[in-house]
Amino acid sequence: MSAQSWIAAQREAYLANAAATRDFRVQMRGARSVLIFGIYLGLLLLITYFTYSNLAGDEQRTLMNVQRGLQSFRDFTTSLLAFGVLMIAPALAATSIVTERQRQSLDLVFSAPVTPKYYLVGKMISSYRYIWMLLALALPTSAVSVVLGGATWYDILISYLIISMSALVLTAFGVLMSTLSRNIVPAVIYSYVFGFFYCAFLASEASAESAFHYSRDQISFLAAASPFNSMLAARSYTLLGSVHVPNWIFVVVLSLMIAKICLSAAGTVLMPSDKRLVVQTRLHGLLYLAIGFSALTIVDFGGAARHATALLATFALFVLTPLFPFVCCSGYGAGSRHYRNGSFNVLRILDGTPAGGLPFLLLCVIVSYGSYGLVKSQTATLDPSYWLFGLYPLSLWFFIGAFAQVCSSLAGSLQAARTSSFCWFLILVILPLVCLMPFWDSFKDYQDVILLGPMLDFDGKNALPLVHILSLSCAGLAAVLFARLSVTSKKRSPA
Amino acid sequence: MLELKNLSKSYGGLTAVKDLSFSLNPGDVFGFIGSNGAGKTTTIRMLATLLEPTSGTATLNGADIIGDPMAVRAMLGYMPDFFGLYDDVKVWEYLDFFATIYRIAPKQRQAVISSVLELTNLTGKRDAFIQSLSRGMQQRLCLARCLVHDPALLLLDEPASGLDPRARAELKELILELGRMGKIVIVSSHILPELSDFCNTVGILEAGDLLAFGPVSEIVQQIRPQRVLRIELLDRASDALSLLESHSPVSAASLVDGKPEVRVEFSGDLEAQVELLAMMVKNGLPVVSLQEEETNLEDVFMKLTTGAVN
Repeated sequence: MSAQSWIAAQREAYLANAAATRDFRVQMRGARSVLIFGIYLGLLLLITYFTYSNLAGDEQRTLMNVQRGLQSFRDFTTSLLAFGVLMIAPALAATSIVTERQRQSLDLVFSAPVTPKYYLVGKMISSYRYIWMLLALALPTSAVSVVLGGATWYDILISYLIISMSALVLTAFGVLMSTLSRNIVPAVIYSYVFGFFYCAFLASEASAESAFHYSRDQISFLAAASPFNSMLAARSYTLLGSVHVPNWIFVVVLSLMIAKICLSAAGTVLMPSDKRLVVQTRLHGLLYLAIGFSALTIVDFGGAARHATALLATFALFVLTPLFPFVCCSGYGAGSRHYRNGSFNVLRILDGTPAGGLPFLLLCVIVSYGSYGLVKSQTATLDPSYWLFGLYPLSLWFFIGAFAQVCSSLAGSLQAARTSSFCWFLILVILPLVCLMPFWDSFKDYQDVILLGPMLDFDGKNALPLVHILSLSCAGLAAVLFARLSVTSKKRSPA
Repeated sequence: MLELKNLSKSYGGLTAVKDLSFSLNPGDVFGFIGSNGAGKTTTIRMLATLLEPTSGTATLNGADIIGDPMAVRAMLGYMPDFFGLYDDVKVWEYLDFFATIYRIAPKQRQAVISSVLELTNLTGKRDAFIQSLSRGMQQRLCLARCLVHDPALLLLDEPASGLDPRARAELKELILELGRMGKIVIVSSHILPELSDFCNTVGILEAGDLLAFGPVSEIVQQIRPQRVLRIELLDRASDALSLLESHSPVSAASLVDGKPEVRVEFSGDLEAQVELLAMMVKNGLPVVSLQEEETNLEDVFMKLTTGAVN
């Protein structure tokens, strides 16, 4: 593709998107939109008024009290917006594709010379533009903080940018879930689950930082990506060498990367026959994992050397958990690409077929840990045990991926395989951890019985969990063989 | 020109379409006949680039459905058997959306929309909301959508289903007009008499196999090489039968139950038919009428197919 045609394609997709134009006409038609915006603005103004009058009503007013009150007011209005975005964005995006699928209008669109990217971008713009309109309407309430003191326009604009980036990510999650679902209700539920999951992940990062050594003004770019930290993000920065880089730049890059990979993944679902798109998505995924985990080296985790490994394991868990059922499972019901074509074939690592699923999952783990380790070893001394401990998540994900193959061999359809493997993952990996949460202080006593134990060894005193690595590898190998035998015996038995 | 080369589609162990090969030229109106599950929709969806063939391929004016699907899509208009129309969207907005995705220049869009609305007789409904249109109008709107980019190939999957007789007649006229405009039109339908009215070529599909392909008359000829004549008499039908059995172009003759009528399987041409009539009259037989038994598409379909489905 020449540069000129690429620019024309981007202009068409982002500035003159037919789907976005059509949806905009529908969104803005009649009195309905005016009514919705009117009610929204009225509610915001009412809440702002009551909150401010409550703060201003303090009779024992000192200068410090007033300043603190204004700051609280600013934080409150921004958090209100963040909460609004968290509530509205997933719901708007989650219905975008699934309603078209139910209406059976997607075939009409994709029999035209339309790429999945073009259509998904259009759908994304439709939902995202709505969020921006709601944010723009809320500007007067935020402007109160500037007029009365407590924030500058820079603070407000950056916080809006951060919130809008969160909205972008939540919208991308919504569009992806909408593409994967066959009905509206699961699409909306999954979008909210992923949205909350994302916000909880960022919030846990922020709380982990505050538990260690970050001051209130200096949060990392990961914590700054949380919509609820948007006011703190405005003044925070990351030190790259001797340059102070504002965190909002990292947040924008991170959010665009997440949105891009979500849209690419949604594209492969909409157009499963497009092999080039599958390869592109996987390559982008690996690249973004490498960039993301390299960027984590900027975040000072503090504590022991093993602490970094533990947090990395947690991040990898967040990334790979929603990924593995889609990568490793096989079955009928969603196109020939998902039919079982082997257990482990490195040559198929990028083509999206089940034989390449397990190698791809392991490659994701290697890229995540490898990129962090490589970058970290260039800038600081990396504990040599880091590389050895990397074997543990590798063996764990090998087992999880192999178990997904077992579920696929027992379940007939792809959907059943994905659901059962994810449920078993929750039972085997997550549930023991949740059950043992109340006994966190004596966690070490239970470490051997839960699969995530060695990864969550925050103290870093344990030796290399060789027994765990060997057991998980052997169990994974047995699972692969079982899945293969099960499929072979099914083929031999009469229908 | 549309050319299918060994087009096949399998789902796991099930083969929905087996080695389909044929070609169609501009102006051909092709009727795709088959019972439910025969593989018609699968074939049409493969041609619309919505399904990937398991093996084989098809080319439209040189563009391959697998190698260059975008080029094929730019040349085809697809109307599925069931299609969803957007709520809260006006007729012109709907067509404008498709004109945009088919990359019609903004300056030409309004003219294109007007012309397809005129062709489908929907000009008066330009500003109406889609949900307010009748089923027939929605069907025509979907056809108008297929025409915004002046496609070379039209794939119409059961276009007449759910339409009243008048809407069907209008649709039939429209399809004939599109054929006259030089487009290749592929129509799948269960209503066989209608297909024979406007299709110049038909294909009969059963359990993924193409059992017959060609002009309707040729297929009828293949199925029944001998013509069947029905000769009605005032009386003396048995005399007529014995006379006809001895006549050489007659390969078989039988009495029609309860009627003074003889059914004759005749291998001669029209001249021989005149001679046969003259001979009967010469022998004093009271012939009231002589007519050829018409073989329609339905008969051909019933004779060729066994009712097997995938």
